[in-house]
Amino acid sequence: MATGWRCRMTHAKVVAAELLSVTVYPTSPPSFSRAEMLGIVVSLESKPKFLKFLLDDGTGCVPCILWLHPLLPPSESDHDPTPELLRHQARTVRLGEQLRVRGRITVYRGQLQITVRDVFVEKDPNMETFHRLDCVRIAKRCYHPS
Amino acid sequence: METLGSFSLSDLLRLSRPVTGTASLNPTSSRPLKRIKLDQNLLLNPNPSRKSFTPISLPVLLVGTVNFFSEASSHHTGSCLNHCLSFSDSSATICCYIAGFDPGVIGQEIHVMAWNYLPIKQGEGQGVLEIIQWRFSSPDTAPLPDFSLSLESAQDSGVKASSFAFGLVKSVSLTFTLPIENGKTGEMGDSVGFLAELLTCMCDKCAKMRPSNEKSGLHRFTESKVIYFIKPTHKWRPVIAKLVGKVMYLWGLKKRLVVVGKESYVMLVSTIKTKVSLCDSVVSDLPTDHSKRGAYRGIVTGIYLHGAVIELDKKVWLLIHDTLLVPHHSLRIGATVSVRDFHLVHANFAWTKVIILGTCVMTSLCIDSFAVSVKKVLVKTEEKSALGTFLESLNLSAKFWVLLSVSCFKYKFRAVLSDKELLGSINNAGLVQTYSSRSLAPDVFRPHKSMFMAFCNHDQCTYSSGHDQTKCKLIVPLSNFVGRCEELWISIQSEMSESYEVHCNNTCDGISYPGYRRRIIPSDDIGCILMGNIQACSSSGRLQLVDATGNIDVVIPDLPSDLSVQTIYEVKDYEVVLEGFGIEGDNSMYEFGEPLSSRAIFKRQTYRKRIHGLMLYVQFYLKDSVCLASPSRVPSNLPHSENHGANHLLVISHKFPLTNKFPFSSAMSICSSLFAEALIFPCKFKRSENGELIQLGKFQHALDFSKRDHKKASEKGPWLAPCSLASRNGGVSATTLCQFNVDSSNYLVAKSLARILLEFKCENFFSYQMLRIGGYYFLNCSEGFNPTRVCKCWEKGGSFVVTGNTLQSLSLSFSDDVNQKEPSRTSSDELVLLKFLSELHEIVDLKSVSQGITNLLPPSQVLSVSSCLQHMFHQSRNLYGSTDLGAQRLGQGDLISVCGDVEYFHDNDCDSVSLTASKCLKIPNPRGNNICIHLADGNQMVVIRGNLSRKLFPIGFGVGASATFHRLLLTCSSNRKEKLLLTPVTYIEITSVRKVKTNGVPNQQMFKVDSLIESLCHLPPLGLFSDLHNKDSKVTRFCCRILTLNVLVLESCIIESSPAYKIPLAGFVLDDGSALCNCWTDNDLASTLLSLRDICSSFFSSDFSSLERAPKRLLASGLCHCSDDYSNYKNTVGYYLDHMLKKHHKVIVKNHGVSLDICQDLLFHSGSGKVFSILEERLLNYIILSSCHGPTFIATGLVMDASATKQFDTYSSESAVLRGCMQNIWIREVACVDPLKDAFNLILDIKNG
Repeated sequence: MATGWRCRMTHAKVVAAELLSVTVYPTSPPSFSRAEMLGIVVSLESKPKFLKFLLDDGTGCVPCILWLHPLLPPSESDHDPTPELLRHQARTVRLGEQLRVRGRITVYRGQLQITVRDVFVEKDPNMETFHRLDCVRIAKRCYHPS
Repeated sequence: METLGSFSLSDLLRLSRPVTGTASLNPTSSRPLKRIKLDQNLLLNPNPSRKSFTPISLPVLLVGTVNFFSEASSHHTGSCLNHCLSFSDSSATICCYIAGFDPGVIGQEIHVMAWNYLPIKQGEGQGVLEIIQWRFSSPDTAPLPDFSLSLESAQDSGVKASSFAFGLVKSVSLTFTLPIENGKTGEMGDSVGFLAELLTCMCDKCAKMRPSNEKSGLHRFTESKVIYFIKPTHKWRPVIAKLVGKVMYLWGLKKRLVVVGKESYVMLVSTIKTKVSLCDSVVSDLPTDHSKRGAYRGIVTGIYLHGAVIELDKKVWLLIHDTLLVPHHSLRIGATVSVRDFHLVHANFAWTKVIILGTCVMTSLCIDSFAVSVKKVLVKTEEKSALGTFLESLNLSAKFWVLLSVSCFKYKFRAVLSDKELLGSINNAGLVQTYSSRSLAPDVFRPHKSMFMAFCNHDQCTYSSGHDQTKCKLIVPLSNFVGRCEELWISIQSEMSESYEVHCNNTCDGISYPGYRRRIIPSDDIGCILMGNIQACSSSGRLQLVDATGNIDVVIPDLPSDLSVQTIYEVKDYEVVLEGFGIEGDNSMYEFGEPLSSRAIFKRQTYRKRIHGLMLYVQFYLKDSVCLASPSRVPSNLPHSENHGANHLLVISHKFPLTNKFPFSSAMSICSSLFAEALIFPCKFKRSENGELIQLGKFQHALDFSKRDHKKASEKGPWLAPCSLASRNGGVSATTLCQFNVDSSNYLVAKSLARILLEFKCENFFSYQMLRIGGYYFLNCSEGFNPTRVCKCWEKGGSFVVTGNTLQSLSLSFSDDVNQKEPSRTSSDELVLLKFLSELHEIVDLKSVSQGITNLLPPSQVLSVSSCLQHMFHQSRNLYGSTDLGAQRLGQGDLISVCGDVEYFHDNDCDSVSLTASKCLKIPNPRGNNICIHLADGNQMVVIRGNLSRKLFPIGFGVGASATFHRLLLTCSSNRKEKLLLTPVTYIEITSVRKVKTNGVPNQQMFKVDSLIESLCHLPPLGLFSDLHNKDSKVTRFCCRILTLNVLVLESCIIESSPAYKIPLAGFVLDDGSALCNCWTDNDLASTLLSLRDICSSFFSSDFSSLERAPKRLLASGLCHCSDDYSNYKNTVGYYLDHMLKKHHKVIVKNHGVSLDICQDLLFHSGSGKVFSILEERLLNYIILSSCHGPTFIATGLVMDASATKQFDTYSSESAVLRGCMQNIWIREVACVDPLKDAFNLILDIKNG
């Protein structure tokens, strides 16, 4: 990822190989901290507090973690449906499903992963091609302008 | 020593039959001559068929002298003047043509060792002698002097002619006549002559008329000089034409100014002192720059259109500009000809490629060897017609196309149009010329030049050589077209059998059935234009396009009701549909011989449909076709007034399909009659005698009654109500005789609506085809107009045999004012009933009249497949009872009409996966097969079963057809499952046909990515938010997602509407991967982005436990007042907003949070000042969170400048700036991502850098 482009708030559209090739130095912050990728769920680990899954887009597998908010008593959570929404999203993560995920890039035990902000199930298989091309387009015009 | 027979020419002429004779195979052998008398007994076969020369049984020769025809000779034609010499002995003189011509033969007595004699005209003592081999009669005498031509008799005259010429003969024109003025007397006369072009040498010796003979290399024949041979030297043309390529001297010429029209030429002209001699010692080839116009030698394989087109070697086409160019007598199929100086054109027509050798004034043509066949082709030399002049004005490829068209038109319309109508006359253009001049592009026309002008300025010849791309299409004879389609079908079969086996992936009830192949070929791929009349086949009843050569079935979705069988239509834009199962056996057994080749067209080869099992038809829209010749139309023939008969108004309720009465055979008609069912209205129409309304008094009488008492009026019997009919040719007044009652609801209802059967005999099948179910028609009544008597036509169960013009269609209109509306349809035969019953306005208003008429009609609704399924679902099974067709019990149920697309159909009794297509066709079942049709409509499908023979399928029926099935039986089987059945009266109407996708066959279109990309070029490329600051202010498309919300303003609507809220402003933070951007929008687009119209199924889903309580709570809190109506809109988020805004009137949501990951700092403001309940907050939170987790979409927007965003300052917060959103755009459009289309767009974007 080029250093010319810095927009830490934006979710960079990337393929797994590019994301996994990023080297994180503690002293210099990466040029991007958020990413969006699309792939197939190839591994799934469900825990009460989080859901961990591997997203494979053909170029590599990126570990993703979706933190589930603790369910509060109804009286306290009535005004905020976030926990329910997250749990609802977690249920859409199934093996073999094609997902589009956005989130922060974090490091766990030295390995890059995406801490998932949201998950969207893409039903159309052509979306994979579209996403790949979109990654190339933005990389050419924005991340790595020639 | 054996003697040689010799006989006189008069013997030959008397014999008057094609004869061939030879003396010896060795021309030098010398044997004594014996005079014999030629008669029938000397012929080898005295009674031969007159197709070939009859040989003489003895060795014979002819003795005679070869010379020019004398001017006094009367029987030689224009062709003879150009090509023939005379051969005479003491008894007679005849035409002769010498193969292997030697100029020294002129004036010498020769022995003709091998010859053919061909009589020209029977009984007139004329014939032509074809000299194959000859020798001088006295070979032992002194050597003959060098060849020279001169008019001996005039050498001593006092004419001064001192000019001379020496050069290479390049070309010789045909003889022509030029009007010329006598310089002395001033009288006008005709000058007969010909032109010869000589290439002369400019060296000093040649200039002084002392050409060096020693070395030909010393001469350079480059300078063109034209010699004009005028009468009496014009008769030298047959010899001079054969000297092309040889060097000759000319003395005794005179330099003169020749004036032709407005142009004048200084040239050498022959005189009576002119002398020509050959210079054999100087040999030179014609310059190479001229050879590009070419020389060709070939065998004549076809002579067409009276010698205008000659086929050589079955591969090249010689286009003759003037039929005098060819030696008429000897030009026969099988002859070898040499052509020199022609224009070579490779013409690429839309359907084929042709090599054309185009002749012009410079071209020379001679016969090198004679044909064995005696069959002469009539070569006509006629006065120039308008068509001939038109042909002269065209370039070579266009000329060839017009000549092909002449052949096609004559072939196709010989029965209906005379030659004069087709080809025109001397002054008038015929159909071919009119059509061609309309069809040809302007660039094919060339300027006209006279022969003199063309010869003298030949470097500027307007005929061009080379490759010629022309878009001309063939006006194909239908018989050839059918042949071509069958040829295509065979090639498709071969192609498919190579690429894959019959695919068995169509399944029904778990059983696979063999594949059905359909190939739709657009007209552009065939390169042909169809032309013909549209008629109904008298044997099958099917609609066909017909010409004199054949016919082809047609599907015309926009068939008008007034189509005339006499009109010739030109159909350029059509689709050929070839369908059927695979062909069993060897495809190579079918030989078609290129049905669309020029040879087949000129030769008028006929083709018959040979492949059984192939359904072949053409579909086109009549609106895209052109009416070429139309008979005069008489639209006022109905309502029929001649016999003052009456007309019934009727509506067609059903058409009965073809019936299967007879065993199938190609020779026998499938049916003798066709039937349609009609409902006849209880009123009669009669045209008044003088166009005025008649019997108005009685009508007024009825009207008075009706005003007082409707019932009394109806009891009075029939009313006479005036009405107006309008047609294109002006208004027609008529009177109606109506029998109406007024029911309790004040609607006008008929006393009864009679049902009659219309019968169409085979000669009127066309009328049957024109009928439309649900269409209104006038029916001529034979009984006449009698207001007091009820017509027999109304008697129930009556039938009526339809003849020629019994029926006329009309469209109904309930307009009160005749002048308000023009006849709506374009058809001139169609009458529009403008003022039907309008005079009854005083009794009941027009609306109720129309309502009354509508009430008379039975429900004739055509259901879609979805509606049909719904109908089947809702129908109570008890209504039908138990029906078991297997037990041959009568089916019970409703008759319904369904339309949809035929997805697939197959024989129902095929039950094996390994079944091949051929098995289904092997044993034809005359009673028809149990057939299963899959009719689909989008995603829904119904199965129709029944008994239907393939022979009775309507044209176009098959996979991919859009069809309406009238009167299907909706019933239920023994297991109480609803099903649709074909009945004997089910009528299938085909509306259109589309291509069938075949699995396993690669679609070539898929590989044409580039062209697909090109087709998508019109889509603007996707932009990036990061580029916004560089961009001009223009509308751009972005592929992005919502990250969070800035602000949302919701208001309740004052006016009652659905939804009852509006969104004056919504601000989002969008992320496209390159940067963030503040995006603003309102109302509908905001509603889309917030998914307010989506059904929030997850919001209410049972496993979403805590949220499940929401609706109940909402209900409890009074947000929802009716718990029974949870459907559609009431399940949407927007529905709950409606109720919330009734309480708060206006809600403003602002996002003060900096974090993009959670929406925790949302602030809610109520317009009413009321406090938000927890559920209301929860609802708003839910809306915003859901939108932030939504899909990628394409937003089209415009960059907003600082002044434009200032108005949002009150809403926007600092947090937005903190989030890095520097740019603002206003969203104009939101669309889902179309991954394929947008991906192609991206490829293009990436490709273009």
